[in-house]
Amino acid sequence: MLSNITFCDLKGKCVLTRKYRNDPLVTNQSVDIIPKLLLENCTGKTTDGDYNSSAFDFESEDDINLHAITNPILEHEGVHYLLIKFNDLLAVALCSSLNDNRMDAFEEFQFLREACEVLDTYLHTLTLKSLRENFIIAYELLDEMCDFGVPQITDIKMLKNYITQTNRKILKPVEKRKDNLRPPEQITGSINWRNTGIKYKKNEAFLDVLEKVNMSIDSSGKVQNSEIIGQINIRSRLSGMPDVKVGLDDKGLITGNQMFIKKQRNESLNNQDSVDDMDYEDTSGSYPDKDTGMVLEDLKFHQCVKLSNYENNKTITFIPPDGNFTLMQYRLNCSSKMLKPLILCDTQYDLHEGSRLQIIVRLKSNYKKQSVANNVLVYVPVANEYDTPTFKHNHGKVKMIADENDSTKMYMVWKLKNLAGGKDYGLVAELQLSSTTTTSKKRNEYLSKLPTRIEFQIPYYTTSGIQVKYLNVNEPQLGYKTYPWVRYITESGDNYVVKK
Amino acid sequence: MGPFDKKLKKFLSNSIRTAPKVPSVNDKLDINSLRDYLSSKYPQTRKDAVRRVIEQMTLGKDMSILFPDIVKNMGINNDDIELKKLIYLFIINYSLVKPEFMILVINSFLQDTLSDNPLIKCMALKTMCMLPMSMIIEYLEEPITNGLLSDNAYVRKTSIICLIKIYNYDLIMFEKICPTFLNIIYTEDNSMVLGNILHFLMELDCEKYINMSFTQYLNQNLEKLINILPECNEWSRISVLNCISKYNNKTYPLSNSQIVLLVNKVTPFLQHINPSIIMSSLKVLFNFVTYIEDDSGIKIWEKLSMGIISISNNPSFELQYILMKNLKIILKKLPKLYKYLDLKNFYLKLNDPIYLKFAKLEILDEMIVNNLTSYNLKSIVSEYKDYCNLEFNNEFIQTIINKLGNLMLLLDDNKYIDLKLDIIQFLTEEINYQNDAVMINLCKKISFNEKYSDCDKIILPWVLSNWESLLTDKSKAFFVNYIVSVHSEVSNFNIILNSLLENIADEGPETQLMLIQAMIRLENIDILNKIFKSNVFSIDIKELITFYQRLLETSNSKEEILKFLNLHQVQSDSKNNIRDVIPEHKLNYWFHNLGTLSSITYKDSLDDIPPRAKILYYQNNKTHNEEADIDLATVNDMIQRESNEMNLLEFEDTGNFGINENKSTSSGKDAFDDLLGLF
Repeated sequence: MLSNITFCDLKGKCVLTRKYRNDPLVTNQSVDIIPKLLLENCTGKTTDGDYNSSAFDFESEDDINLHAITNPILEHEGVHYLLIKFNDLLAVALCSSLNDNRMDAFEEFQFLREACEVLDTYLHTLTLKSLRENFIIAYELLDEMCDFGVPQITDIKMLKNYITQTNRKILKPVEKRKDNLRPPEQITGSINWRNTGIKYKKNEAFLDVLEKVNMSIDSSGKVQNSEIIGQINIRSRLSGMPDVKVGLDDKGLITGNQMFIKKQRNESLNNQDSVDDMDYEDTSGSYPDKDTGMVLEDLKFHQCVKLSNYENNKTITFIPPDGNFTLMQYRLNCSSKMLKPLILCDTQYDLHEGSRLQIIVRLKSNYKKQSVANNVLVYVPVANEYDTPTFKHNHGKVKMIADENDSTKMYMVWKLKNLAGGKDYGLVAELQLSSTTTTSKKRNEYLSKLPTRIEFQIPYYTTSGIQVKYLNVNEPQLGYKTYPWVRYITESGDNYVVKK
Repeated sequence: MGPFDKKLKKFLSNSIRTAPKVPSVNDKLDINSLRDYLSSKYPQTRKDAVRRVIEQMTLGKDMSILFPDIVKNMGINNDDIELKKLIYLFIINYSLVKPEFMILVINSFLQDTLSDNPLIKCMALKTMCMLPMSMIIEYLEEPITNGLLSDNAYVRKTSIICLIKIYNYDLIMFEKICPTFLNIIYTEDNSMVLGNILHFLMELDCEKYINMSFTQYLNQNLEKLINILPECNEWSRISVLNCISKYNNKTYPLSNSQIVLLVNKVTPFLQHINPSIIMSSLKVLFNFVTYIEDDSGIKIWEKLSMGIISISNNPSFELQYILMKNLKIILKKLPKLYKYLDLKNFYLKLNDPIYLKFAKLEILDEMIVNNLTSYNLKSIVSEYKDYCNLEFNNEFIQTIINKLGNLMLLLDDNKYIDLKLDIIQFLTEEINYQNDAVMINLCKKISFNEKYSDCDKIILPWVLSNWESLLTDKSKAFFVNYIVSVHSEVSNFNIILNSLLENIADEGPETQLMLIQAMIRLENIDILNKIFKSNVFSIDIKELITFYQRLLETSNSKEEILKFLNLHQVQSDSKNNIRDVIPEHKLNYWFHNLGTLSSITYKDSLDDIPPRAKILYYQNNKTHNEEADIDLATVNDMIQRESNEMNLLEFEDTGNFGINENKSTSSGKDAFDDLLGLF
């Protein structure tokens, strides 16, 4: 149970605070102390100063950059601070340790994150500035989402129905007379994500199958480990209360996953790679090419999916919320031989005795010729102390960008608007290094070992081969026709890296 | 006039600004002109003015002087919810400063609680409960009782929360409303209201007010709770699951079929998108896992591991962090899980924040140490090697070097010699700028009696070429210990020793001690006596020197002396030391409170509350329960004791539980003291 939610800037200065409980431990001072706590935690020192003296002088510490949270849970005088960074804000939940066995830190963190997301939607983007301008609606939302420290409602679609505070740039209020504004019945009902009486002239559903590929590739171009994080996003524009069923062509990965889990178990137990001689006859596997080389490790569904149906007969059925939502997320672990790297990159990092740094990057696309990757970005980490960079390359643009979290780190970013399959490009960069102290040399050596990260997008392509077979919509009362639209995209995940 | 005309007229009066407009945020505005705007005849102007006042208020300006003017607006436009909310916000903010005005507003509040719009009703209820309770408590009984009986679920769920507030403040008032509350806890079938009720029951003294324990209540209502799960919204589902996870199956054992049903209903939620629901479901399953037979066909272990893996891949680093911290407890309690969890899931990622990296390292270590043979050690070593390049952080790299060192200790010499050589080679060739940590880990494997092995062929040259750059006391001590134990292989051993002895005054205590012990081992009595005479040691070491001297005088056999010396070897990590031991009762406490802060920080909740908090806690309890009458002296006593204990209980940064270590050193000292007395 949280006693207080506070939003502050990255230095810990309070912007907005909502007190939920009258807790003897959580006082105004507990909020005032946040900057000091952050500072201590950043430098790792504990000062013995008297915490109760309210006049702290933080002006002198302006130059200290609090870029990263070193610990999400801080403690001071029996008050626990749970921290989350969101854009340029810190959201802090204060909890007293007196309630410890009633405090589910897991729940609080999740709530904090969802609360930030709700505010983000309401304020367009949740930033320091937008929060200061729209504190009234923020208070109202905080009151509605959580009462006395007990999380209540964070469903944005429901909240929009009755939290309509007009505040200049805010989303359009529901077209109702003000005095009729009341919480919708469904909010406490069993289908608490969809309003009744939704009507569309044309009933459509848009499905996006989005797959993010994470891979680490060693210097010789061999895949060390790879995974696919996929999700199916739906934008539903359907009338009434439709029952929807989605059919997937997934080679038995999702709709029949038990055998793959079993396979994985056996593999890890016996520690051997031979999966070919395993027997699937007893399972429902009707797919001839058994060895997809992928293992479903994780599968998660939206609140609306009837989980018991999935558990019993592996069908995905649901009553969709209106508008955009993520139906499901899955994660596939790929055995290294099956998935070859989509984009390969070879980086050479030559540090010429402290004075000059030469970086040679070779980029190679490894997919079919008819596919094209868009917005390919190659991130090569370099130190921030350099001058007169020169670049030689035959495609795209090169820029230097500072790292968000680490001010001493920069990235050399090579941007290619598009990259067709089977192509090969090169880049030679030279940087002059100014200082030759041991620390900077140490830094450069450290940076030279960091892997190169690549970002890209390949439309009309799924790496796993998963496809949507059908989308059945059944609205018992209205009985209309629907038009499903399906798109496929493959993207790089946060962790598509090539080691040096 | 038709309805359209009416609307048009209202629209015109609201929006056409013939009337004064309230200036925007940037202009300065004094109190008096604001007051004028607040009493303007145009509703829109008044509302803007209220908003403007609230704005000023949140900026920290004192607007309490406008209290009467704001309150005047309360009665005028009763249907405008937005205006109402603004005014309520104002009242809450100044209720403490201007208690004398409260009497003005209470009537309006009470009127609002009678509104047929649930939103207005709940807003009034909520706001009333946020005002200082002493002013408002006497007015609350009726609205809350009515709210609890309302047929609107939204009103009921709000009233329940209001009741929690009253329970926390005034027990007498609570007891008045209690009968109504008791009625609905059995009959309520709306999931969201039920969620709040359960939240309350967890907080409530159940024995006293509903004449049964919480478990008993759950036992009676279990079926209902299980069936309502699919209907719940996310947060009430979490409360229901959390409640069931607190079920005490020892006092009210469930039948086997009941457990199977429960587990079958809960396991589907392991695939929910909200990680918090997954965690709560896991907690329920952990609570019952010992009662499920393995052949019941539930595949409980597979499902548990799937849930854990699912959270460990959640994009939220904080949640991953909590899971990692909790996993240590879970694995200790349910060692069977080791088999089902793949080590790969806990490998570090480049983008993980530093705290998560440390937590993951700890789990990796835990799994490797306890289940060494079942993993592919080669890939683990290569992972660890990679990690040295992940961060530009000395502490982090040192931790990894230590983990590699520990791994070397664990590995059997004959079977894994290649792997060991590989690690040593890596440590000696690839790691720069970390000589101290590398030295400690290379040297700690050698105990005095061990033979010169293949590994030493690589270690020795490195040690000899790098010892001069050592900085810390500890690493030097390790170096001395090592070099003495292999001195027959070192050609320039005497030169090294002499240079060390020359500078003995500058060394730290541990190194000094090691040097003295080295002299004893080498039976180099002359030098020893010379050292003893020089006055460069701290008091602790001086005491020991006296002891050694007496020992040398009385006995001439080297073995006897060495036997005593073993008491004070360099504090070396043996294989057993690597494994942490958590006391059973703590383990149980944490296991039953997974996800709570104490299970993350590995502290006992009550024991570790700091003194100031403790006083507040007891004061708070005193106002709550009259019988808990603890005078301040006892509290102070407790604090005194607490602070002593806390020093002992403090954990090391490495996550190793330091209790054993402290005890062993102190007992070692005692033994010495005893001996000193003897001589």
